[in-house]
Amino acid sequence: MRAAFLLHRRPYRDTSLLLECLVAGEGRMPLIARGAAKGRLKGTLQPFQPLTLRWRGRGEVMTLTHAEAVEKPLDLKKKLLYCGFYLNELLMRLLPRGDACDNLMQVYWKTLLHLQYSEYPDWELRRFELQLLQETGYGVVLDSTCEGEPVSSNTTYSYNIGQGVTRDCSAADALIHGETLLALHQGEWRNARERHEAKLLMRRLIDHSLDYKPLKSRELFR
Amino acid sequence: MAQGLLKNLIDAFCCLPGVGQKSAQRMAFYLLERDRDGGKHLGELLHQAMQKIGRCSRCRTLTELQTCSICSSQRRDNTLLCVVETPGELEAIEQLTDYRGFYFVLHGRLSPLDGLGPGEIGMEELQLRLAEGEVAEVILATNPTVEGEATAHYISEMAARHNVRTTRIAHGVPLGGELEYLDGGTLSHAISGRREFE
Ligand SMILES: [Zn+2]
Repeated sequence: MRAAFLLHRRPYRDTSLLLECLVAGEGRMPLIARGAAKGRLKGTLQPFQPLTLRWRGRGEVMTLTHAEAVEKPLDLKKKLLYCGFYLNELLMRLLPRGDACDNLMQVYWKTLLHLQYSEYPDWELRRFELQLLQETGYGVVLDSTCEGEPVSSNTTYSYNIGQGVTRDCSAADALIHGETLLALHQGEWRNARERHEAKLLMRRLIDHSLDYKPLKSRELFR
Repeated sequence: MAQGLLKNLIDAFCCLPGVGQKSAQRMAFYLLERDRDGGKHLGELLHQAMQKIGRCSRCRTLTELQTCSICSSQRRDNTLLCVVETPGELEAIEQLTDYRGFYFVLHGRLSPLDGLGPGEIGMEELQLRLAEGEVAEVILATNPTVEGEATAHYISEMAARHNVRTTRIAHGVPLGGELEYLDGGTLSHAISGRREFE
């Protein structure tokens, strides 16, 4: 039995579902739920529902043998559902199958939990984006510059994709205040400017890591 | 083992939902041995339907007409617009309930991982429809899945911008269930028991 979340499901043959799950200790993995297209299990196998799963078989796609809801689904309503879809799309696009990334399961669950109550859901997204990039090996250093100096809160910087934070702002189209970088690094923001700058910076990093192929879930926020 | 044209026919039947090799084989043999006329008729109809049936210019349901018979009707309540995910759900509501307003068919639901965003489910057309000003209430009959809920929210925000009230069907629709498979009583109750959506 492993803790898991469903990221995506689609019909498979007549009565089955092909699932893509985020599973503790396994990372992202596909599973076939045989006969699950109708009936009770279909209601359980929903996104944002904490699950425990069991499976058997070998090869690339194994067969789900047991799925259970461990607690009630996370209460994501209205725009928060869009946020949830965004997280799922990021995981599907940035986390390769089979990359165990133990932390990510916790990070994902925590983000969903926080989203329910947070006054500023966008900040939860920023935290998730940063942790996802770090967990998937896309190094992001925000508390020191590529010249090797520690970032100071009252200095202005720019961010060069591929190099990192730099004090050289001559070629930059977007400046970032040191306090924004430190806020992201520490996971705590203080003002609206930080939230805005953090959003622009993370968007550049995410877009770059996706080779600039657009995210479908972003269309919902327009 | 069937070969040639016979094999192709059997394989072609397998594209139908619920039809595997065995039933496909039975269908092929049945038509060839017992009902060639039926088979020819089916063939012609399939060909015509695939060529001619498109989407209604108003509600997007399946029809060979520019505007479907429901949308052309003069006897319906033009202040009500019921939004459903599939043509099958439109049919279910039409046959099993006494709802007599108009419809809008999404052909899906917001589901970014399936490539379905606002454009794919006809949100521009719906916006135009609401801008006409006749619709006073949008009934959200999307399924009670997270994707259906997100879709309902998206549409309710759009409706609010046009000062249109939104209601959501509620009663007896099981979580994760699909309207098309509900019995008539449950579905009728769901429509009549709709409530304000916020
Ligand atoms: Zn129509």
